[in-house]
Amino acid sequence: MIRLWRWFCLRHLWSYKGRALLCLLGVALGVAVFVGIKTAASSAMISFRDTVNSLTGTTQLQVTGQGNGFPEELYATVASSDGVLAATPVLEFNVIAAAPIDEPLLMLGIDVFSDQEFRQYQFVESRQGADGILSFLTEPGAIALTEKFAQRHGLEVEDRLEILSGSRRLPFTLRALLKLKGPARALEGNVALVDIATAQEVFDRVGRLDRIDLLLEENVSLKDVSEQLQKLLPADVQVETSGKRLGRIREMVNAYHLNLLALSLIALFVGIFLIYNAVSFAVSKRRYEIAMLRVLGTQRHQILGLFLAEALIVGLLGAVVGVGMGLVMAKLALKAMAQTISELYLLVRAETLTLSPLSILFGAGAALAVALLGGLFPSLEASRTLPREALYRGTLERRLHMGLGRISLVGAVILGLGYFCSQQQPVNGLPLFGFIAAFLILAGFSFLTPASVVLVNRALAPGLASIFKIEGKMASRYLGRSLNRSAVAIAALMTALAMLISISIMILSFRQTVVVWTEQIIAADLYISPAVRLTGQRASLPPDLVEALPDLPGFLAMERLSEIPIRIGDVPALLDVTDLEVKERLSRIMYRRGSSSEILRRCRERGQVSISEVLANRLNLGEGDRLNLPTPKGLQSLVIAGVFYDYRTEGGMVIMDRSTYLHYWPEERRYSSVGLYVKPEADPEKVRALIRQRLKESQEVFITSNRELRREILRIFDQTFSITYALQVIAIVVAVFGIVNTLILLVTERERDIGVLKAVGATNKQVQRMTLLEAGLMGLISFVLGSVNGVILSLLLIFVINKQSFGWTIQFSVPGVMFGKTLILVLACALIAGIFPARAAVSKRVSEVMSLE
Amino acid sequence: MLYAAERTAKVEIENMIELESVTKTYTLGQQRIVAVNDVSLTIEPGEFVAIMGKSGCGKTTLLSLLGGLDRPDRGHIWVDGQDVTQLSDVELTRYRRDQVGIVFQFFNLIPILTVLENVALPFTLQGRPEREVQARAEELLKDVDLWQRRNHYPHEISGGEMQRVAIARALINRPHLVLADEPTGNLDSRTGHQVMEMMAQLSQRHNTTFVLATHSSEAASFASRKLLMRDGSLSFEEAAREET
Repeated sequence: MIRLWRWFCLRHLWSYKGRALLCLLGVALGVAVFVGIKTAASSAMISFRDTVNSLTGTTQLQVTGQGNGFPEELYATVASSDGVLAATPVLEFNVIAAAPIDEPLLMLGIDVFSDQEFRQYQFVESRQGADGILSFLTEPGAIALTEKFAQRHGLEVEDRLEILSGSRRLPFTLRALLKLKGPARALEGNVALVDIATAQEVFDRVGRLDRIDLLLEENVSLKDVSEQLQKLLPADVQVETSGKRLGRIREMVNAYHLNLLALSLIALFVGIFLIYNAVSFAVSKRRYEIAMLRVLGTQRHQILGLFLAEALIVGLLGAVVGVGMGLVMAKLALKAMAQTISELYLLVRAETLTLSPLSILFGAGAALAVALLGGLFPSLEASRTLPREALYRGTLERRLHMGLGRISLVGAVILGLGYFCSQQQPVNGLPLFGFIAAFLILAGFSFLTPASVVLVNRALAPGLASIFKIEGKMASRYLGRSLNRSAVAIAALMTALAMLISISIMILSFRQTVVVWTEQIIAADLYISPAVRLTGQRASLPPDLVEALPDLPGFLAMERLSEIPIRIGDVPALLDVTDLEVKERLSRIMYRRGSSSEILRRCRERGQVSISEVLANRLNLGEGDRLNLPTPKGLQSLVIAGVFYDYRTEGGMVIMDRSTYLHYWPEERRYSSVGLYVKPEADPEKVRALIRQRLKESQEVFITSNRELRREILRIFDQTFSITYALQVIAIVVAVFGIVNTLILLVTERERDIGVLKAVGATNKQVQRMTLLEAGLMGLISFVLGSVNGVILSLLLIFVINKQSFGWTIQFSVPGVMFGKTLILVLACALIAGIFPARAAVSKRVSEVMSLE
Repeated sequence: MLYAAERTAKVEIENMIELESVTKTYTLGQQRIVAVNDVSLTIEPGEFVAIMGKSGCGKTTLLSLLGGLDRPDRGHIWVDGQDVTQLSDVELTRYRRDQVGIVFQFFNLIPILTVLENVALPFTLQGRPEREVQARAEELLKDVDLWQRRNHYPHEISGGEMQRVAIARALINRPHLVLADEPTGNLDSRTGHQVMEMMAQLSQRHNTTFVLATHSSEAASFASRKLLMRDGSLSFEEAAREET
């Protein structure tokens, strides 16, 4: 058997190296995308987990505050509580080391004495000696950085550097270098250490803490201590283990991760068609061999084994190449992905790729599965071939025609299953059934492809014949005749196109929704915000700057916005506090029901709140329900006046009037940003220049015009989706390989026909035109089917998958221009794919072909 | 001088085919095979010539060279006063299309075209007006007695019928020369006989030169002249049937 296999498979693969390579590359690309994304995403997550773990040290429990933290008096309460062995306060800031360094840093404000029991900081030997280890930090403006970070930027002890935080520029002096051990490993060494008192002072947080880390006495239960502590603390302060925090963050990133993975699986899905084609080619090329083997007594299962083995070897090689390519891809994507995750969710720095054997195995396994699935049908056909039958052509074609009804029925059943799955509820907040439905829809449409090709081809035939004469007529007839080959290539391209079209519809609909939304809600003329706004950080504007704004010439009104991260139960959300009176008068909020000004007035006058639809979905609350909000004055139950659309974050959002806020959070007077309205006769540009003039040297703020802010929002929007475009391009490339493969196969199968055509006087140009027309026709039919499939998939993406994973309402819109562009792209790709086969079609001399006689 | 004079003389004789020391070799792996070896031959207009010989003797190659499907390594082939060996690729395609009709052993009909479309194919490829194409195809299909079958596809008709379609297709351009490579090789003897009879009739009716390659003496018996080919060379000429 092995010898047979070597004779019949390896030699065949070798003599058609080019085609085998094309197919292998297609599978490899699918695997590469999968492994690449999986590895990059898990590396980013692992790097984040390492950050959290290294910062946790020996900590068993953490007391964490919301928004602006909690008063430091709580420290004494917590530290002296039963079961607590040791406690240390922590302040955490995400800051940026100013140019020329220009890198994010995790700044930890620690209490140098109590912290030693929790975390082991190791310093590079310095003048102070090991003894003075942490005491140097108590000097004002002292900072410690990791050796790695300092070396990278050529910093030495006693050098000065500036740190940007929110709207401030703060001077520091480097006093010590940390070894890359323990907590210093966080964010790959982008860690800065300062004394907690310094931190409170320079970051304007005197008297407040973010977190208290706890060590418990032996023999006490984590749960008991945690429950007992919770009773002592205000509602907006929580006690939890660090593992829980990690889990929450992982959950957040999961949806993003899953989306990318699903996309990469589509590239693999397209690979099935490629293998199908390759094995079909092998079967068709070797009908005679199969017949002879059968005549000589080879069993059916042996024939099946021969061809499946051939498919498997392509799958195996594809897996090996794909995993290699995937790791390279992961290396390249890691930075981009870490950046996206940093912008959307939390600050991560990922430099090292962490290999995950599981995802590599899964990728390789998927390649083999794809190979088996793709190779199975044509291999079965080969094994079922009777010795006599194998000597004639056209058998497979007739078989497929006969089975058309049955194949279509299977397709319809799969589509029905897909519809059923689309109606299911999410699993753990993830739209698993939605993704299954997407794959079922793609599979269902693939099964419907042969019948659709017949129908569309029939509809297009008269037009083709009248425009392109005999070439058009023959291209269309050939396509109809070679269904078992062409339908597969068309299904592959159709799948890639359906994906392209559906995702484009989703993104463009989403974008259009966001455009309408920004036009409605961004009404102020100028927006003033801190220069540095990193994820998870509460940057604020200098209060004196905000208070001086009404004195500006041309001032009409301002909305002072405070954004406070909170948690409602286990659901993270953002509390948006603003001057609703101004919003009511000059701007609006897009509510899903009711008038903006009416709801805003109720919020202002009756102390009610508005919540975003995302939060409403997560908490299963609606208009008129009550929201339980943890505040320093305990849990408050507030009436929900309205539910609004919001596309800023994936988390939920609560809008509250400033007066209500000050009632519950009396100590807070910090502004995240300000929306400034100028009088109609005033020039916003002049006002902007004036504000700039009045800024102090240490103040760093962004002043954005209305139009710039809208543009910025769309820029971030587009950037978020850039990786999906790259994936789509890959799927199309894989599918175009399919078209090239199929056409070469068809041209080889028709060698004799082409010879006859040339013998009876067809010119090379006519033969080439016929091949190109067939390629174009395949592209056109793929486009028609892909469009229908794509629109259906986009509905699933928008109304099921997006709704379940993010909860946004996206207004469905079908962008006509996109279809036009896609059609041009497809036809161009198909025609380019046809060039090589068209050349191949006329490359043989007529007599060579005829000497087959 | 003499060569130029001869050439003028040849041009004056219409529809004549002359081969002058034609040689064609192939390389098969390491082996060189002389398929046609220094063949010279003259065929009169309207002649029905059969080239006989065993498989591999070079009959098909000789036919390919006559039909412009391939080029000889040496020598000249004159058809209608035109040296076919000197034609460019484009001119050669035009020569095949306008002056030669080919009938193959395996009929070689295009499976996706109907009987009528197959017959009309050479005309259609030339972009002739639809009405002319239809009229001529109809005439020929009636000639070969297949008008009733015009809308059938090749796989729906019998071998003999397929070969008749192929003959009709070969004649649609009113070629001066029809080449038939083992036209009865794939038919039973009765059908083969009918097909040969039809070819002989058509040759006479249209005054078309037929060159037939066959190893069947029965098929060759319809020819007005029989040539025997062995190892690439024409070894002797046999007198026409009528004269023996």
